[in-house]
Amino acid sequence: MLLKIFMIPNQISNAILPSIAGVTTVILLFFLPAIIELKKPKDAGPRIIGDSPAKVTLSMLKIPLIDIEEGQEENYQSAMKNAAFLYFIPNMEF
Amino acid sequence: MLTYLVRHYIFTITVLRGTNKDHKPKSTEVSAFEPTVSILIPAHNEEKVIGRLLERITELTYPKDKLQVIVINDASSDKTGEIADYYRNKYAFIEVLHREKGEGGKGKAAACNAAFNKSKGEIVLCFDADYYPTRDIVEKLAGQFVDPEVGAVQGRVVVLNEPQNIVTRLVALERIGGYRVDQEAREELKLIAQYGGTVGGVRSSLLRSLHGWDETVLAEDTDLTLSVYLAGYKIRYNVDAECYEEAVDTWKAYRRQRYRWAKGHMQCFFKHFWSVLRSKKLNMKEKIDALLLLNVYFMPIMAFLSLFAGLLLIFYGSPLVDLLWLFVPICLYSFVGNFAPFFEVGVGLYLDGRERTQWLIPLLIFTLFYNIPICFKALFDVATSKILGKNTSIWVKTAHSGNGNCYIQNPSINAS
Repeated sequence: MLLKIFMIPNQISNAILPSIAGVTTVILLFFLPAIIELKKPKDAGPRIIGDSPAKVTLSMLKIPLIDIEEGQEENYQSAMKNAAFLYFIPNMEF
Repeated sequence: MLTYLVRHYIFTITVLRGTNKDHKPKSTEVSAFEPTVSILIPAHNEEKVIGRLLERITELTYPKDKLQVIVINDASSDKTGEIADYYRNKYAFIEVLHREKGEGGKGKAAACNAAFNKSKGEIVLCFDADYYPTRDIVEKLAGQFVDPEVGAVQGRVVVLNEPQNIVTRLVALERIGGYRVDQEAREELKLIAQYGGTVGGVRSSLLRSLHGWDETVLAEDTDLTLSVYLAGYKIRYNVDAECYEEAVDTWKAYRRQRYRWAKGHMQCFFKHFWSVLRSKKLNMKEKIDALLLLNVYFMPIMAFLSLFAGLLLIFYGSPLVDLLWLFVPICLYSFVGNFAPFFEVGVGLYLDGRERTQWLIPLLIFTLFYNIPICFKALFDVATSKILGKNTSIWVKTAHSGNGNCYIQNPSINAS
């Protein structure tokens, strides 16, 4: 009888301890990548948002945008292409 | 909850399929349509950030003769008004509307309505004071209105101060899931693209017919979203129209902001639920999406209750126990999914070329637990105000510190 009383807590602890250890390990593994990234971030930071080069160049050159009218779409596209080209010219300086 | 689960997968796969090999979104065609535009900038104690935005506004590429900028100095007690006045004196297209205490300080919707009465543009765009757009953003947003069916437009929000701390990092993850995947999928699938209240705009004539922004709800943006669709118009989302925002950087500020969103969404749910169901201007898939959108802040409550009930049944040895082992993980997934769906966020980061940040995704579980009491409190307050017949909505402003300046790629800002 006395032996039984001492065995029950032992059986419980035998079951609980590995469970706690297992759960803790799973939780740690679950968060490990996040902890590493928070400690030593290797991410480049916020996304860099940018303008459309062609539109900005058109504006800087004070070239008005052509209203969409019949037959004008090609001129508009052509102006945009030229502006995109002009945008990169200053970047060719060393 | 299963509906949300399916929705997350549909949205994510849609966006994955719609992007090219460079992970770039389908670029919206640049339109030469240039209507007159009024930009409204509500500002209450924004001295740390308003100068940054106004400087950027002067650099916008949109023709200045078609641009009207109205800064609403909404009962500020700091130097917001002085900074705005400086820019007004320097640039003819910038105007300042000063609202004193008593008249002002009643929230964003009230401030915007006051400025809307003075606006002259065919299109009204809104920017919060802590935002920092690309120079060509007005073209990208206003150009969408070339389609007469378009009633409102929304651009993409990118968190500027993301590396600041764990809160800003988690908010950034949520934003990436929401704007890189969720909104884009809605645009692609022709569902309910959401007007977010900033980095977006509305057709003036439509806004006038809707009597401006509803000042009685805390989520005036969601309210406007539903109103636009119920009026028979559409909202376009342009992922190319990008703008930085300064995210909340403390858990307290996060809680206040989410409470406002949760309560506002719930108010909109009660306001629009039947109108959405009865509407003849919405098709079936739009109705379903609108209801899912309105219901989104009830989900943490429902998921929590279902988990709680599930655990009770397990402990009491219900015959349903086997089924619940399947039910619990689904609940857990959907639970998280409402705010920052793991899958959506992961794919959003992948498409943005930021695989390393995916390591932070498990931390979103903390925002999940943090949102449960917030949503419970919001529901309690909405129910109380419904029962008592009193509108207890008080606008609590998010404070901005200007911490994001160091991340802006602009020499003039960095020098100052």
